[in-house]
Amino acid sequence: MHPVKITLKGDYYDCQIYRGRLYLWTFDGDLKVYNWKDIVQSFIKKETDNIAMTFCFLDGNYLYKSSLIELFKDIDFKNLLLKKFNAIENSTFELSFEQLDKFLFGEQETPTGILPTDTEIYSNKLYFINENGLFSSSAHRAKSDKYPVSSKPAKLWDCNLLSIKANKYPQLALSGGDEGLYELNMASSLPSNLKRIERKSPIFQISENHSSFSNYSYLNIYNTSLIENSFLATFKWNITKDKNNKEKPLRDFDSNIDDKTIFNVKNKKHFISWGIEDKLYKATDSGFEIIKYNNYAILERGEKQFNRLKSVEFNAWKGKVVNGGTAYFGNIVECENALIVIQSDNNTLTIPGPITKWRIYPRSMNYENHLHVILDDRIEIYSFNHDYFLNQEDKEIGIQFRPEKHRRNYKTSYFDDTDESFFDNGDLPF
Amino acid sequence: MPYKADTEIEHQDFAPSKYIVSSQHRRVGNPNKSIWTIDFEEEINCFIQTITQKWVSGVEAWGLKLNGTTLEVIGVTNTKKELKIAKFVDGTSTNVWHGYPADHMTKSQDRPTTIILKNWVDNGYITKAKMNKIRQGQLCIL
Repeated sequence: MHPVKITLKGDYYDCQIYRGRLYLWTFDGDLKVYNWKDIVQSFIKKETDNIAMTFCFLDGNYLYKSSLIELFKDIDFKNLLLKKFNAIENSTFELSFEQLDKFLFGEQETPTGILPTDTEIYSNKLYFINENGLFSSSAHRAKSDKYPVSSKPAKLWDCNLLSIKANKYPQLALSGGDEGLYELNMASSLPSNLKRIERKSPIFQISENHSSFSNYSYLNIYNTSLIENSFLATFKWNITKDKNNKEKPLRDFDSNIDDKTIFNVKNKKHFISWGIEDKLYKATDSGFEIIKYNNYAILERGEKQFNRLKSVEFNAWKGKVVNGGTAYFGNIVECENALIVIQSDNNTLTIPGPITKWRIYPRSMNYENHLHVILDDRIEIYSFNHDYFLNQEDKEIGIQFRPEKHRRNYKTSYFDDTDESFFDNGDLPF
Repeated sequence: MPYKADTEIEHQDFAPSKYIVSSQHRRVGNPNKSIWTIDFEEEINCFIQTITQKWVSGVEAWGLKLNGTTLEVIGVTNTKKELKIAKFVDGTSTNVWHGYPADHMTKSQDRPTTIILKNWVDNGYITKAKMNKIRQGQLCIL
């Protein structure tokens, strides 16, 4: 099963998708915000393609619904839906930069006037970094506002960071290169055993060790260093009492587990590794190997935390692994000369470089099947739709989908792009 | 014109600034310092180009050694990794500069600013993809 692709022509530097809007940073320094639902619906020429296009690009979560997974065990139902996806997978969905204009929600100069090094949109706020520090601006604003994103961002920290990554919960991992690994923690209860390094912002130092990029794995953070050893910074719940003697759980730092322990490596040679949720990955000379991380292992019973699953090999021309990420639909590995998607159904997609930037949204509510790839003259938006039909417990590639983690209200129709009632909950990052 | 290390150099192409060729970045064996592999005159020409092109941000500036639009090696790290970006610093804010080969992947402060990198992309010296990798401290062969 092949992914479905939308191509938007233009010279872009970064992108985000959030609550029905597509945010594109042009290389000239503008931030353009488009009505994503309208873009997708403009490509639907036949009523019979409506369902497939909606699941592909607007509602990537819906088909993980447990009752539908039961339905797909019936081969006739499964084949009917597969036929819908197959009908659109070879279609060309493309808009020129000029054609995109009619879907424009709003545009502005990018806040601070400097192209961001990295961005996240989280709880209706745009977080971004550049050489002057970490900033936040209100986002997803009303049409009546002058700009779609506040043009007066708040400066949260002056550290010159390399990358940021949002958790499902109100936390943002901050990778500061040789400055170390930090976390902006906006939860109501804060850790008791980490050093707060900013008075005005709840920013905590997790490690002084080098951090290139990082991602959340359950409560923990997998810290990737491209030049030193990587490690898993583990956290645990520390149950304390508040002033009213009610239980107050604190997410406290526990320990760092180094990459050589996780991947059972005996020599001192540096290697690249990364992790998200239940899987950790180690780049090899010709591909990568996968470790299943059991966060709930009971060591006293002899259960192992880290279990090797398999290795994946690449063709040599793609070059060394330079970056990696994981979504439900598979692993995304950036090599020197190409971006490779190893799908959870074991098929592979290769996107030749040079790749300016790529993004996945595994913690979003509607776009977890998306891969956005910015190339020299366009952005390609891929939708992967094979993972709904796989046994999530058995799959070796990609994050295991766990329905209990997604508290979605299924009363809404899948034709609704977004269930807006969800955003009333301030603790949700989406 | 022969230049001397650790001495303030005046030059009409970067006046009123002064430049010091630092011997710290000429000696082999200092584990914390990268070293130039280009000669004194090439180092100063690199600084002249930086000032002329206005690749300056406050008391920091970045430079390249260009052959057409191709970047040439200007130095190495203590582990012999080749470097192609120069960093210049006016360390005392007195308009007296010195420079060294920048290790943009290892040292966060050695990454050029976004505006300077964008200028290099616009001039065809690096690609947009490489600009992003430099800003994010990722492996990037220039």
